[in-house]
Order: sequence, then C-alpha cells, then structure tokens
Amino acid sequence: MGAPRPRDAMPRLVVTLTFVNVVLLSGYSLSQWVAWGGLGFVTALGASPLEIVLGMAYVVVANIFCAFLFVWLIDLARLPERAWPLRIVVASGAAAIGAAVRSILVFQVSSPTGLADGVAGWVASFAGFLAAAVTALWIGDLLGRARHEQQLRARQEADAARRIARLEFEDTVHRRRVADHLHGSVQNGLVVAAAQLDQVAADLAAKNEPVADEIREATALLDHIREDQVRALSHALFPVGADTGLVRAIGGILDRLPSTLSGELIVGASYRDVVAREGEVTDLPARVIIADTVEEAITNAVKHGRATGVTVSLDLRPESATRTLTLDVSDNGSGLCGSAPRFNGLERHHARIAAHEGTLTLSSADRGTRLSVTLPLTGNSAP
Amino acid sequence: MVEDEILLRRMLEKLLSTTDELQLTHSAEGVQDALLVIRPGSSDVAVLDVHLQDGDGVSLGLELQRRDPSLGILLLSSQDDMAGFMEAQEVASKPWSYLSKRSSFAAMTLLRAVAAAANGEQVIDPYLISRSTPRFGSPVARLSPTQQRVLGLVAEGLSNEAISERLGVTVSSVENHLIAVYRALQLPTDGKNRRVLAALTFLRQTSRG
Repeated sequence: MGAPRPRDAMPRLVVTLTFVNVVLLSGYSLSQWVAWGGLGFVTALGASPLEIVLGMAYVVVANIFCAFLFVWLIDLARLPERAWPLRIVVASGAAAIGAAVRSILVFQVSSPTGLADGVAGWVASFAGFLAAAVTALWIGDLLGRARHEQQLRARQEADAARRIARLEFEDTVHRRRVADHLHGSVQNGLVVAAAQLDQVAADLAAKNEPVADEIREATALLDHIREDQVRALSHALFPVGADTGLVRAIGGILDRLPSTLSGELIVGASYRDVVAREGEVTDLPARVIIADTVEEAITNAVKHGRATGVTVSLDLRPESATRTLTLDVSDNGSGLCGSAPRFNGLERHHARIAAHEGTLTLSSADRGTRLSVTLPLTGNSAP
Repeated sequence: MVEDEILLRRMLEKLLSTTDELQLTHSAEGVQDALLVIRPGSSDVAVLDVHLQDGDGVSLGLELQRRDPSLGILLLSSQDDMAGFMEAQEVASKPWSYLSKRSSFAAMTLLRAVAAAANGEQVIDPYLISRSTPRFGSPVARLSPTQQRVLGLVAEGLSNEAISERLGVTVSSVENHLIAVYRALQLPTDGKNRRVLAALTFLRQTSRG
C-alpha cells in the first residue's frame, strides 16, 4: 500500500466549501418547507411536537450524511486538480448519487405524493449538490490563482533583490579594486617620485643651482596632487577603512572632518560586545552603504543646516532572529524646514538601504536634525 | 619591515641600512609572510605598511604585539588612516608610532621613529602635526598658541629638552606648559602614559582635513 498522497490547502478548502454549501442548502430547504406550510400540515395530521422534532432532526442528519457522502466522492476523484469538463462530469455523477441517497432517506419521513413529486425532489437535490460543488471549485480556482500570483510576485521580488545585491557587491568589489590601485600603485608611485625629486633638489641646492627651487615646486605640486586629488578620488570610490571594519570606516570619516566641525562616534555596548565576541558583524556592502550614508548626512548637515558638530551613534539590536544595525547621525544645525523632510542627496542612500529591507528616516532632534538608519544584517562579515 | 610595494620596500630597506645602530632583521611583503618570519623576540620594532595586498597592517601589528608584547610598532601609510591607528592604541600593549610614507623617506625622521618605537615612545609624523588645526570648540582649541605648540611637539615624540631647544625656552618652562596642558585636557599629570594620552588627545581634537 502506497503512502497517502500529500494534499495542499486549496483542495481541502474546496472540499470544505462544498460541504458547507450542501449543508447550507439543506438548511435552506428545511426552512422553506416550514415557511411554505409543511409544519402546519403535519401538525394538522395530528403529529405530536416530539414526533415533529424527531422527524426534523432525522432530515438534518440525513442531509449532513449526504453532504459527507458527496464531498467524499468529489474528494476521492480529486476534483480540484482536474480540468473543468471532467469536473462537471464527475461532480454530476456524485451529485446524482448524493441526491438519490438523500431522496431515499428523506422519503422515509416525507413520502412523495407521486412520481413527479419524487423526481422533482431528486432533481432539486441534484441541482443543489452540483451548484454547491461548482461554486466551491470556482472560488477555489480564484483563490488558487491569487495565491499563485502572490507566490510568483514574491519569487520575482526575491530574485530581483538577489540580483541587486549581487550587482552591488560586484560594484563594491570593483570600487575597492580601483581605490586600492589608486592608493597603492598611484599614490606610492607619487610618493617615491617626490622623494627622488627631493633628493635631486637637495643635491642641486648643495651646488647652489637655482633650478633646485623649481624642482621643489614640482615636488610640492606632486604632493598636492597626491594628497588633495588622488586621495579624495580614492576616498570617494571606497571609504578608507571599510575593508576592515565599520567603526574604523566611520572613525576615518570623522577624522577627516574640517576643523570647523567637531565629530563624535558613540559605539553602543551591544555592538562592542558582539564585535569583541565574533569579530566584525557587517559585510562589505553594508559597511560601504553605512559609511557613504554617514558621509552624505554630514555633508547635508554642513551644507543645509550649517552645523558645527555631529554625533554618530552605532549599535545593534540583537533581540530578533536577524540582527539589526542601528545608526543615528545627529547634528546641531538649523534643523528641518517644514513638515516634510527633504532627503536632498540622501535619496539614493534611502533607496539602497530600502533594497536591503532597511529604513532611513529624517527627523528633528533637540537641536538640529537626526538621521536614523536601521539595516538588517544578513550574515557575518564577508570579504 | 612589511611593505607590499617592491619599489618602496627597496627604498625603505636602503634607508634602514644607513646606520649601524639598527639592523633590518626581516623584510616581508605581506601579512602571511610577516606572520611566518617575525617570531617573538626576533625583532625590537615592526615597521608596517597600513594597507597590504593580503590584509591590514593595523590588525597585523596587533597580532604581532599579542605574540610579543614588547614589540614596538611603527605604522607607515600613504592614506593617513589615523582612525585605524587611534583604534589600535586602545588595546596596544606598547604605544605605536605613525609616519606618512612621504615623511618616511626622510632618513632622520624614519630612524628616529624606529628608535622611539623600540623605546616604547610614541612619534607622530611631524608633517601631519604641522598640518593639524584644533577643532572648533575643543579643549585643544582653548589652549594658548604656545601650549598648542608644546603639545604638538610632544605628539611628534620630542623630549622636554628637545622641545626647549626647538622653542628657545627653558626646560622648566616647557614642564610648566605641559602641566597646564594636562590640566586643561583633564589628563593625569603624572604616569608614564601621559605623553601618549596627550598625543592621542591632540590627534582626536585636531583636523588634518
């Protein structure tokens, strides 16, 4: 004997709906019998109240039994999984059997006055059973289609999220590679060239050659290009320190703030504990997203809020199954104008964080503006 | 010495070989290489590039110091990644020194930094100190110009005698300035780490941006 075939929720729903439909239909026909004078008729024939109650209970039980019989037949035939023509044929057969059994049982307490009356009773039952099954199958189809579309949409969204994450990761790796090249080969090459020019300038200066000054000027230009242009380009591509840890990446941003702006980083106890226990908790794309967002928030605080101080708070909410990173960037600037906060350059960061199922909100702080970010952490540190 | 750029490694090897007072024991090109060749007790100072092809010089320095707590660390960087340097100071067993690569090619600066790192002193790149501006509203910004200058020279790793010579004042005058600085920055006025704490406070409360 084989194992029972697994059933999903939708055929069970159809079977249940069919049963409920049949029972409701039976209840309806009983009420109709009472309403059309059936009860008065049997009372006039001299039936006692107990006999009437027993008779009605018998009819109810008979109807429920027939409903069970009918749904058992359509469940046996696995109708919800069949095509509509087969459904109609099988449901009609089951309805014919169910209606016949019902007629036989009901006629035990309410004999038909003639053949036509009996056939009419059977036809009414047959039509009721068939209508109950068809309605349930139709509703089941509608719900099944809706559920299928929902599952399809969820799969498409998950697939799109995976593709975006993959693209973002590749973009981050590429940015890191270019920044490493700028930092390594280009900056180091400029350092060596400037050092060699320094040596040449020193040798020429010892011989009182006036060209030594021109060489020193060229050296200064090389230093300027390295420090102010190549380094800025490297930072813009990939935040310094992001390859090793988030605290270091944010610390680097705060360290590079101009002297007119003070910055403080507060790392929460949960974050510290988890990092001390397990190492870095954020993966590379998350670190880059957060570091870029902090940089943009500070730019906005200075540019739009004329802030002179920013406080960055970083922590973890470890209570849920998925750890969530929380970031607050508060400033002491002029605050938000109007009720609807303007994201300015943060719109892109808002979309990036939303793609990772995180949130980015702007609100008024005690003084200035507060940017709050939550970002679910999907795994331990990646490269 | 650990440096992954071959041109820089050759130049640093040459510079570190210009005096008999120190000997280059190992020259490694990356983290893995360094962890293999630098054994506890084999060297007094590790000169490390911050960014290496196969890892991070700051983490390497912490690991080497974990193995050998008496090892001095001198970081070299072309990125001025002070955040990593300052983060490491909170857990380092011995104060670290820091030079930008540009300054490391000045032989005197490099050799002095190596010697200081070996002695457990801290030297911060004089070029970076000269570019530092106190942050608006910070305690360092409230120091007098002379006190700021004395604090900057402490961060460079100069002794009180060297500072007095540099500024043309007496040693006791330098000491008085330093006591005032420690008080203003709410640092302990005695203890062997007060100069290191003062240097780190200077770095935190100044900008090189």
